Amino acid sequence: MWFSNARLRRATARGLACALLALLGACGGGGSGGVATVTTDPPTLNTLPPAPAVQNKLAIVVNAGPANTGYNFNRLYASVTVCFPGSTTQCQTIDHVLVDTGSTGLRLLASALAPGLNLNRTSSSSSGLPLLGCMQFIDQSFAWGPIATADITLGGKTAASTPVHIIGDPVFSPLAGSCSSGSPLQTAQNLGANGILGLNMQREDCGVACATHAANGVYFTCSNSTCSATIGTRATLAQQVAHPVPKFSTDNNGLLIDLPAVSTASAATLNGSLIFGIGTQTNNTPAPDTPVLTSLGGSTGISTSFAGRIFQTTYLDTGSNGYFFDSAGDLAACGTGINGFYCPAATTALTATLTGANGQTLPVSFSVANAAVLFESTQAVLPQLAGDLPDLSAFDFGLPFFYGRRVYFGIQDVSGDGAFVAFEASKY
Amino acid sequence: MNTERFNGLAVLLCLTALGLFPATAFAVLGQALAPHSECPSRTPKCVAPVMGHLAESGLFSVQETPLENSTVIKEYARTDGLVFAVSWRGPVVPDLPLLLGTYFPVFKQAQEEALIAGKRGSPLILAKDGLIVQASGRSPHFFGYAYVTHLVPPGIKVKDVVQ
Repeated sequence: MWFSNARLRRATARGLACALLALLGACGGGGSGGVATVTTDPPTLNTLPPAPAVQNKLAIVVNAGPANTGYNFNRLYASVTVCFPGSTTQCQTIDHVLVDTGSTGLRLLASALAPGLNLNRTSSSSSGLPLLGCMQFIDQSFAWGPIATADITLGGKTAASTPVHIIGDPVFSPLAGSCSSGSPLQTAQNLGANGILGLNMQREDCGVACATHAANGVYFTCSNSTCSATIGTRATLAQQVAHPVPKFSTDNNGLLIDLPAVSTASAATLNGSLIFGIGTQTNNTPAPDTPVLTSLGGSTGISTSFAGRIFQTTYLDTGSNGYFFDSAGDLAACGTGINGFYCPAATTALTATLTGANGQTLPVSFSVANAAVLFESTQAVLPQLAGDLPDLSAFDFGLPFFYGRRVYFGIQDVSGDGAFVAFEASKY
Repeated sequence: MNTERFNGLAVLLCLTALGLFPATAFAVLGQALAPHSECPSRTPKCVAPVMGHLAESGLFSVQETPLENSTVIKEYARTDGLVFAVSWRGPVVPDLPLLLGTYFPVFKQAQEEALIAGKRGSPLILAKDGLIVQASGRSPHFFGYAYVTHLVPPGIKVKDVVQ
């Protein structure tokens, strides 16, 4: 058992961090584990907040993000409460956690966690040493760090004893080379959030591939007792970072995101709702005959037809901050400094058609405005922002797609079936 | 360093063990393509690469290396053997420090600037000092490519070639 005593674990962890950083010439004076200069007070614990009147609803907002984190646009946030499993006092409510329908499970910056939260870390079944996770994202940043267990409370719903990912933990950050796609997500400044709440259609962040193959690229463990290096390892489905919603006792088959329409080119703030369950309450039941696009889980199974071309992979992703697709040169690219976005001379109306694995089709209309002009507004809500996508086989409907819609995500069942998306007009 | 995940490194190590070329000679962006046609059986982490030649163009060759984690790396080499582009597609982003070689610091600095500028949750599309990197996707479907503009043979549109 790896550091089963929490106090020992902390003490040893500090020593380990110092030892690892010393190798890099980065350990602070005195050798007492001075890992980084902390200029703000550490976060503190709170008690579990009382359940709201509508238990299956959580407020979500698009705004400028946490203080001092640069320009955040089209980023959707929620406040998430995590507790030591079973406790209602050893809890912490964390604001500005990114709501991301493009990933699975809760990931929290170590720097955002109260020291007293002290979540138990998961050990690898094969080594008995810490289980470490690597999750990469669309912008090629990556989240690296240990897996731990927490009760996750969203609104009035709780997912008990759920695996979460602690990212940017200074003890393990020196080993992030195992995950090195580019920039590590280690601070609120480079994440633009205090964590990521992954709410896509899958139950675990990797699934069977990581339960059966050690060289899966997502899960790692220490290759020796001093953790001077890492090695790929299997992680059972129960150990993997998990979607919290299937772990709710009720309202657990899916979720919907309802955001108001934005009638202006930009806005400072947009308030909406994340509602749990589909068809389980009056507040989460789609209108009769709402078409459903079945998915094969993740991003597969739904294709997009656009401008006479077929894009086999479709994302409906709140974690993408614009519409992203290859326009085959029809939309002018922006110049240096805002590479990757589109800057058409005039706002351009476009239509795409989605087709589910079940053959159901649905048109989507959207508009693309000049990104350079949008960015000059310095506003957070930019409904007409679009950019290029390197992959000619994928079409990414990011957060602007969600403005003015209720978008339902059916979560796959234990057999892997049952994933779907549906959408209708916002009720705001 | 994790050799289970980064099979490219394993390939390098096994070739080095065979004495085929020095440890710094793994084919990376801007360097000479190092064909690695087989791995010794005692290094099970090696996955034999697939060599492809685009007969029609006659302008370049493609070396394809499936990693153990199922991500496939392709290296695009000119007729003189220089790797002018690399691409990847699969469940995880490969070891970019290894794949981009001397260009990695340029990539990393540009990426960090992009994140701070607000391009969080956007595909990575950067151009700096003659290096172009474009990448997107999310777990378990990543895709990306990198090339050096002055190394690309005339008449080739890299975005189309690497798809």
